Amino acid sequence: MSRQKNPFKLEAVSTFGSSLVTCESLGYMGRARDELDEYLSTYAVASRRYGGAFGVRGAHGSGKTHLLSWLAERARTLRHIKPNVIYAKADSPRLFDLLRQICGQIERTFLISLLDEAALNTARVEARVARATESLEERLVTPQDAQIIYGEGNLDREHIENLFAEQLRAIQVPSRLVTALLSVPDSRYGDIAYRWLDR
Amino acid sequence: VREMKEVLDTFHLRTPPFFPEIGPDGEPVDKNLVARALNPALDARLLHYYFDLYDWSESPMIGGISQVKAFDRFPEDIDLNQDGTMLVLLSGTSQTGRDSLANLILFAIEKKLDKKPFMVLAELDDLSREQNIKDLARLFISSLEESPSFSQEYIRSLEAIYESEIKEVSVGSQTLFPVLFKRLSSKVKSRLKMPIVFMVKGERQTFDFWRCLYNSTRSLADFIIVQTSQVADASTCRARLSNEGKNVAHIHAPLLDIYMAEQYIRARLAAERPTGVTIPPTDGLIPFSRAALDVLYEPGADSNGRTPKWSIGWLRRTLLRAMEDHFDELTEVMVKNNVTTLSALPPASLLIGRERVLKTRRSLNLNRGAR
Repeated sequence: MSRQKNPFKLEAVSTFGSSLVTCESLGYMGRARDELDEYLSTYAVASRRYGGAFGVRGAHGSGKTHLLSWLAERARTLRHIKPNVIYAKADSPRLFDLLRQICGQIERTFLISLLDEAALNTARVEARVARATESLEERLVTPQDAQIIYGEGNLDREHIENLFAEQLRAIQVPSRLVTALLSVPDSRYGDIAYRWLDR
Repeated sequence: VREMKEVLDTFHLRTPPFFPEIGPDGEPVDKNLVARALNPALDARLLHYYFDLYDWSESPMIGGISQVKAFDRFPEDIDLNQDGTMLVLLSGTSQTGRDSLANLILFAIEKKLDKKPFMVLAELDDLSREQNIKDLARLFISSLEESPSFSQEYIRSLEAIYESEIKEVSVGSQTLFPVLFKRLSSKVKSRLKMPIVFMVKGERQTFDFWRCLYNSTRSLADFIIVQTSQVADASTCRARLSNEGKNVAHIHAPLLDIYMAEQYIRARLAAERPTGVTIPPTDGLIPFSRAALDVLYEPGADSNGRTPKWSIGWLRRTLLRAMEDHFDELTEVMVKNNVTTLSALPPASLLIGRERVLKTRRSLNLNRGAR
């Protein structure tokens, strides 16, 4: 049996971020655009927000990267919402490499605010575990509120941070990355941790 | 004051059980000492307020709270392997009794050796293992400045040792600057004449670091006490060092489930009943009703099947405040009903119920009316 010859070019046909001449009337592009629009419109309301994903399948040169570039460009031109567009290429078997590509495209200040938001959500969930602490949730509006509540002893900062770290490990984030990620807000070593993630 | 005494008398209590004002010997207790982590080195009567909530399963050499000798088991020199240095890993989050346990270990060391330990408190949060070990050495040297046994000139000679030894390439990631600590040990121990204890905190560290810490500093330190919220890492560190024949213990201070909470409340209330008063076990929670305890462990509307657990500090604060709120309420009811003794009120109204505890918790959650 003879091996089939690859009919496509070895190099990527399109590279992410390059300027585009495109045809929006193609059905698959419209469907992807609608997904993005729906995701972003629900994002504005915290209670309706969700984590979305969709897959794009196609042969080499069929326009997958082109579609992503077009969606990114479209997202950047929106007026009412300013999404952060991050592109990572999964060309390594290690999840670690992918996560570092992602972290490398997020500014440290923004990464800190994302971590604060995530820890706040963990605190809210923890408050809801018991009848005795449910009423804390109404005070957990901003990350600063969580710090005040930790100070009062009504929730425990270490406990919440441990739960948050457990959640990250549960989705297969490597332990070293979790440690570095959780160190990013630290005033003494956060910059080193961030540079390690970003290198 | 008279009203509070009457309320306490009614419930057969000689002092508020969750914030005692009178010690076991009948003498007043300093409020500042019972408001924070217990430290029997400051007042030995505080031994009576320890509750044995700890998990000793990974601590064969240290274990069992004793109100007389601190621990039922504490290592003698003959129990210790190799050079005698012991690593004690204390795991648990805030308010779980972890700090109180660290203080109890220091107290036990003092009792055992009849000498106050020389303690170096180090918060090691650097991401670099090497930097953390160097920081600890520097902290040790600077702590000696407080000791009258060490002149400025002597301190400078120790700093010179530090500067020369940190230039040496380390022998490996499991032992860093061992010669530095050996040289410090030979220069310091004969003069200091005190057991050296490193009390280490740091939330970013893992079992590898603590193992390295032990291997690097054991020539100098007699005890290394690590406080961490990372239970799994503490357990792994203990297992690995134990396999290597090192002196190591891991003690966990857990959150309390409803069973342990009940034991704690019963023990605390029983300890503060006046001499000669016997309460039947069925009334062991008085002034709390069973429902008052149960509601603290009632899952929330969105608990996802998880059962609440609380730190002893959180529980103590909740119970203390619920009692205070309840006693205030009883006083108001007496005035309103124009009665002068609690015995004139319906017996059921005397107990702290479910709603009272929920109201108290809500008030604490909203940080209202902090006392």
